[in-house]
Order: sequence, then C-alpha cells, then structure tokens
Amino acid sequence: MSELIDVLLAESELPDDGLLRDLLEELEREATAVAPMPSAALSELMSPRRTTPSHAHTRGARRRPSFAGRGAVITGVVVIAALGLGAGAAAASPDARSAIGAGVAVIAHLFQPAAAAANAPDSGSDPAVGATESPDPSESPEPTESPEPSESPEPTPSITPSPSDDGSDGHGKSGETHGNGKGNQSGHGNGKGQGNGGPAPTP
Amino acid sequence: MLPDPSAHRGTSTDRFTAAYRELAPRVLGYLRSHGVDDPEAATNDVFLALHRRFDSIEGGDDGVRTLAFSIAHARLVDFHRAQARSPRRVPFEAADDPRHADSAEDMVISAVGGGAMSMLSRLGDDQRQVISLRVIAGLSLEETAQVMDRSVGSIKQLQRRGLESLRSLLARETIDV
Repeated sequence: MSELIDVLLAESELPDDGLLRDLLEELEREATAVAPMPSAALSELMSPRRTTPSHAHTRGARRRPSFAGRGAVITGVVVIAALGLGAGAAAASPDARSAIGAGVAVIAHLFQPAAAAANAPDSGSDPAVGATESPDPSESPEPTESPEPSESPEPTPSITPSPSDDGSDGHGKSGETHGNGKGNQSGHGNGKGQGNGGPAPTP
Repeated sequence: MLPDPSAHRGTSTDRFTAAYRELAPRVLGYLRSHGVDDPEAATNDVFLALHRRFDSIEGGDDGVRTLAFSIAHARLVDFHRAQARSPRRVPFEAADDPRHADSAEDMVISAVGGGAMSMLSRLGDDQRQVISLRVIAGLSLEETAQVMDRSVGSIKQLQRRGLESLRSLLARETIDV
C-alpha cells in the first residue's frame, strides 16, 4: 500500500513530504486495524457447506429424479412397449393365429374325449381311427362294398350310429359330433364318407 | 490490492470469503472515518449487497473492490441524507462539548499516534472521501472517480487540496506539540 501512497503523493506533486507519507501510512494502519465480525447471514453465505453443493442445490437438480430412478422408469416403459408390440404382431400374423388356434384345439381336445364318450359310448376314443377302421361290422354293414354310391342320396359319416340309437336322432347326433371332429382333425373322414355314402343305415 | 490471486480461485464462496477478509476492514475503516453510526452493521450490509451481484462482477479483483466501495459510498450518502432529515438525538457527553479541552494524556497520544483518523475527520466531506478512498480503500484515481461519480480531474483536484490541508494540519499539530 505504500506504493499507492507514493503514487498519491506524486500525483499531488508532494513526493518528498515524509511527514505526510507517515501520516497517510498511519491512517491506513489505523483504519484497517479492526476486522469486523460477519453477521449471521453473512457467515451463512461464507459457510464451507455451501462450497461443495452450491450447484447441486439448484431447484432443477432437486426436482430432477436420480439417474437410477430414471433408469427404472425407462426400463419399465420399454418392457411395456415391447409387450404391446409383440401382442400386436402376433394378432396380425396369420401363422401366429393358426398356431394359436391349433394350440387352443389341442387344449380343447384334452377335455373332449370324455364328453364324446359320454355321448357315444360305442365309438372309439379317436374319431379318426374309428372312421378308418370299422372294427364292428354290425355297426357299418358292408362298409367296403358300395356298388352304387348314388343310392345314398346324401353322404353319411363313416361311423354309423349304434343300433340302439334312434335313427334320426342318432344320425344327427353322430353326424354333428364326428363330422366336426373329423373336419377339424383330418381330411380322411370326408373322403371315406363320400365313398361309403351308400350303405347309410336307415331305420 | 487483493494479496494472492491464487486464493481467489475455486468456488464463488471461496472467492467471496477471500474478498471479505481482504476488504471488510477497509470498508469498515472507510465507514468509520465518515462517522457512520453502526459501521459494523453497515459493513455487513455492504457485503450482503455485494454477494447478490458477486457472480456477475467483471474486472476481477479490481472490479470487486470498486463495486464494494461503490456500495459503501452509496450507504454513506444514504446515511448522511437520513441524518439531514432527522438529526440524531444523543445524550450529552463531556468529550463532545466544544468547550472541552484535551488532557495532557490525550495530547501525548495524539502526538505519538492514533490521531490520523481524527485529523482526517477535520477535512471537508469531498476531500475526506477522496483521501479515504485512495488511502483506506486503495482505489486508483479512476476507480475513485467512478465511485464518487465525478471526473478524474475533479478527483485529482480534491485529492491535492486534501493532502495540502492535511499537511497544514500536521504542521500546526507539530508546532503545538
């Protein structure tokens, strides 16, 4: 600061006044000897605790969720979107629909034999097998000999109703039941039915 | 001059704390030399106001010092205006009576030292402000002109007259002793 006092005296054309220099130096010492105590508010502003997180204490940073929280939210959204896309693609694809249909049919088939057996106890457990093999000749008289297919005005299912069944009722029932079953399972039934259409039992 | 520039690197809080440690005694001395009632409270007010604008200050340490004393000077002007509107009422003290004569001890102490502030107080307001801003605050001619909102030429003139007045007072004191 003595340099500044020298400059001050030189500016005022009093560079060689020693008494005045001593007085100014004493004035500076006297005026700056006492350091004021900072108030509470000022001490808080100068607190070291404010040093480190000064930028992290902004309002935006406080409101912003953590990186881990944001990651969890993003992952959840991605998983839900992927599930939705997968479901949409499966619904739109014919292959996927046929596969789902086949799966549903298999599941339904697991429960069907019991119902079919209850309705037609004489028929085989497998409708397709029963259609190709007629173990009981009495059920299907002359299954292979059908010289005149045209004699049968309408094709009948290959599996004939049991004798105990009523003609119309039994024919209709078995036709509905096994026709549906053969149609769903394989194409053998239809061909055989057409071939064996003649000896349809009549009451 | 702020002593160590490396001390002002780091966070804003660190730089403000360093500025307070360097400048607060000078601000307090400047306010005391002009008879402010509660110079410590006024000094705290100056630095609270400085902190609000601290991050936007340009000019480095010189800019901080100039702004700090600009605020202090504004507080001083406000104080004197308030004093002019409502004169302060104080109880009678014998030492303040103009008929009071210094004791021999007071005269010796004044002669040995400790009288520089009282000698400064005998100057006119403008001269006193210029000398205190140059010597106590450590401002340059240009910075002093900026704080007092005057031209550099007028500051230089006030400074020269103030120093001459001080020299006259000093010579008179020396003759008296």
